Amino acid sequence: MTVSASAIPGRLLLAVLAMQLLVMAPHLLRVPPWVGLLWGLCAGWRLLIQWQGLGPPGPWARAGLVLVAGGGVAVGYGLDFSLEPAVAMLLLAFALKLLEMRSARDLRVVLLLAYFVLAAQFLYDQRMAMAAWQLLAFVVITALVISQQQRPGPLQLGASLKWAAVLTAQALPLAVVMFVFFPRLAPLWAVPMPDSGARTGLSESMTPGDVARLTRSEALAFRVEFDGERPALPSLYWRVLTYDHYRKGSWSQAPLPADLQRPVYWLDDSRPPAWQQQMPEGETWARYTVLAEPSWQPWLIALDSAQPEAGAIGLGRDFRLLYEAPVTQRIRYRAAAVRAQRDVELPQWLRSRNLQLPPLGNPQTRAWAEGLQQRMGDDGRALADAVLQRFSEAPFRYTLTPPTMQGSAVDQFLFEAQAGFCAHYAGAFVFVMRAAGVPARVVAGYHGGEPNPVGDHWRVRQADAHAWAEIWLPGAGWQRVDPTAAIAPERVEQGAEGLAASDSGGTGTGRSTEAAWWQQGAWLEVYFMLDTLEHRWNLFVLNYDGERQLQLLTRLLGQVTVPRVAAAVTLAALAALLLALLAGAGPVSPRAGRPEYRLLQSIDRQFRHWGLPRQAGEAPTTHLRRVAGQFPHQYNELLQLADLLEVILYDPAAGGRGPARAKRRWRRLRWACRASHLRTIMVRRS
Amino acid sequence: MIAQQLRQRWRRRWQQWVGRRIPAGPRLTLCHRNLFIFPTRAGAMLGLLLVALMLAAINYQNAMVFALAFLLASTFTIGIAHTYRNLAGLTLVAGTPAPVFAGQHACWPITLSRPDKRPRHAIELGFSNGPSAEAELSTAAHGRLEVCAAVHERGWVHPGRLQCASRFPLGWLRVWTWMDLGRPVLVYPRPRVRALPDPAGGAAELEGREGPAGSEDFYALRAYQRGDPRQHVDWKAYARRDEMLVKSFVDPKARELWLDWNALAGEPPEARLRDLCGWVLVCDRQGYRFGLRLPGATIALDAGPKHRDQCLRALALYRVDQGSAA
Repeated sequence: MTVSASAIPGRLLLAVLAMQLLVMAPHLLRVPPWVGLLWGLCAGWRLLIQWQGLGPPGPWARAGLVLVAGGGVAVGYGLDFSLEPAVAMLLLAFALKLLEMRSARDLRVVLLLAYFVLAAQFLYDQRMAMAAWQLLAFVVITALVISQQQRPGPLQLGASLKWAAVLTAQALPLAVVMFVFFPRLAPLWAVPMPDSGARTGLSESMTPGDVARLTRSEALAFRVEFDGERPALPSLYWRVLTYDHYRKGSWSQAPLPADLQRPVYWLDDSRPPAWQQQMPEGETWARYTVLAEPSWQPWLIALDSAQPEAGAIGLGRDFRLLYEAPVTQRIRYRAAAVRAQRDVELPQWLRSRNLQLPPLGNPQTRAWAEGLQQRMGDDGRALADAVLQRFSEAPFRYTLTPPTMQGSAVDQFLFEAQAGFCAHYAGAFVFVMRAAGVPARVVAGYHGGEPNPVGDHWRVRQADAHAWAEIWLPGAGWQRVDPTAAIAPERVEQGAEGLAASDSGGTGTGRSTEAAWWQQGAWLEVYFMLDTLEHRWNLFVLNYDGERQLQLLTRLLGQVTVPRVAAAVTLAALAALLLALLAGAGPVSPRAGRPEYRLLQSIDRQFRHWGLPRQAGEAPTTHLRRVAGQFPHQYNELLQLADLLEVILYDPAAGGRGPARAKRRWRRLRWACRASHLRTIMVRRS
Repeated sequence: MIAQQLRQRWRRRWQQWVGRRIPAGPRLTLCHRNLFIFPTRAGAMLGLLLVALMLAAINYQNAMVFALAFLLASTFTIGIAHTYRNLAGLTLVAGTPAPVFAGQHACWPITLSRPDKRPRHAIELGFSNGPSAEAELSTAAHGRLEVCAAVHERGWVHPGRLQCASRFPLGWLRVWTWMDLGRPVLVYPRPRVRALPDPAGGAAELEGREGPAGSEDFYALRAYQRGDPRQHVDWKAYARRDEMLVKSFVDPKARELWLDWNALAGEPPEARLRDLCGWVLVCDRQGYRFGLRLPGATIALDAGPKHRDQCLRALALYRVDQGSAA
């Protein structure tokens, strides 16, 4: 009924292989190379079956291939149930199906699988460029679906591509309506989430002594939009984590005491906990919307002392924002930055936590801190200034490639190496403050960012990760101190960017000169525009969630009820159907597509361009004979062309190769005519 | 029992409904009144795929998987219009079928024409009990083809409804119509080879049996060879089948024969008709002058194709309900 049931024609097979390559290409960049090799093997075998008469694989060969594929997945990914091996199996099934694709039915299965493979890629990458690529692949798959219905035989691939493009173009508006209106349900059951591979960014603990070279990732951490005026860069301290426990050179979070009441204030709680109520009202100095990339951690990013505004967001005891689950998808939330005094009354348990030090180790530092304390007394501000003063003097320097420090890491840093990056300075500072009796903790987060004037948003990369300190002062609560500002003020003034440019000690740091060309001059504009486009895509398309849907639909429908939504979608579907019915839908008008008509159009256009247009009602050949007089050197040839055209147009028996011959002749003549036309113009001008 | 009755009743109702929607007639212009559309198996498979995609989109909260699912769903929806448009506007005209013998395929010439320049693709035509034919109107404005159905009973036979269907472009949907041609075919009895009756009244052995018993090809036609007289060419067959056939004539011997219903006493009526039919064909081929005697009808001695057809027609319509004749 469809393709002759016994075999897939050769050209169709080639088209199927090309389609598979198109669909699988983005996957192949991610999965281990042997998956691609196995596909190549299957494709090659299939081609040999087709043209060399090689037999299709027998049951044993098939079982062997399946075993190889399954074994490869088991060895490569382990036996745990996660998404990656499932996707690999899907790709392998897609490849292996080639070997037993004998009938139109098999081909249909392959084509349905192809749509599914497209969907699987979206679990890993939904960027705009990927969406464009996948749309192209969608059109190609659909073209193959259409080619199965074509007669005689599924070989008119050009025509089916045209059909597929027209159908897709007509389907897009309706798809957009469905996208806007279809209710965004909560996940029905838990699914294994895609593994993004290398995870960069902040971690549960910070051990500066172990790091010999800070790798700076250009990966995006988050984008943020400010309502109204954007604040100055130096004030942008994005808090993510606090470390209040020090052990063996490593900073981490101590577990909260078990008897603590409500350590996290969730926004949907009816009443804020006591520690939150005690906080005096402060001045809100910025409101912003964060669009954070997945961090696989429950931490959110917040400016200063945060006031979340909506969503499943909680405020931690250390005044940072928390999400109810690890952030595995891009997340959007709004918050406000408040200049508030936090923990003006420091509870005893919190005080002892933030004075914690191991009983032994780093004796030099302890001695120095005690000396400072004896000189300055209990004035935390003065103590901090003294330590910062010390950091700002030589030989302390800032570097991204510090020596490693083992054992008494703080001693080594302060008295031997005297070189390091923000984590060293923040860690050492907090150690000294604690040793001198001032409650202090390390804060990890991001600093600054890259403003995008086109989209009016900020882009913060993992390379902007930063560590600083907070000390507790009586009557003032927690105060931010950035020791790095003392040693490398440009780090704070200009962000990591300015630092990388001036970092004499660091070689091959994140964004060095070779990456900078596309951020200069005219390219910068393009870069900002692309970044803005991506941001809008994330914001309006990818992060179109239930909340935004409700907002938009309320604006569109007035009131969001099931009948109204259903009516809207039905109306849209009917409108799309009606348009498709009425549109001059046939993408292939037999007349326009015929070569002789295209040739006539080309001739018409050319002579119109030369100021010799065809008169209304004038036959093409009459026109050609008339204007031939203007080209004395080509006169005879033009007349011959007219004769030839006459035969092609009016003698149906001529057919065959006539049009092609006329086209060749016209192409030659056109050049000659153009030359003489130019000559005429020049003569006239002179 | 009851289930069967119910099913029959439903079937009758359904046929009545279709009959009201698509009245019988040799000419039908396809439009929304007489076209039906429904997903095919491939369409159902696509539906399953859509469900899987939606589940993935919801569970992964993945906007682009949503978008892909919606794009597929709306391509399917747009496909409804395109599939419908592929048949809508076409006019089908059925011609008169040539008489055949019971057990053969009767073929109706069908002309398809389109009102506009829009090409129409992959149109399948067929009866439920016959092979389907395919038409393609990509450049030509008209298409002619023959659609055949097996017929088993003699008399005027209605072939049932002609189904004209298409799955173009996506194959996920099928649009079709059931056309009642209103053109029954005249079916002669299925001929049976038997010894010719003796001119005296008894049965005589026929010299040189023609083909094996039960063979259905009783046309005394053979392929054209150079030198055959032009007036012997079967022009009708040429027009129909595009092959040159020649009626082979045996020199008419001055033999006359009466084919008599009563000579076959003892056989059931249908068997008698089959025998008579076989005799008519043999006599015609052998060049006999023959006459036919049926109860209530007599066809005088004569020869030639016209006479043969008259006899066959009489046999085909012997005691057939007048109501079913067109």
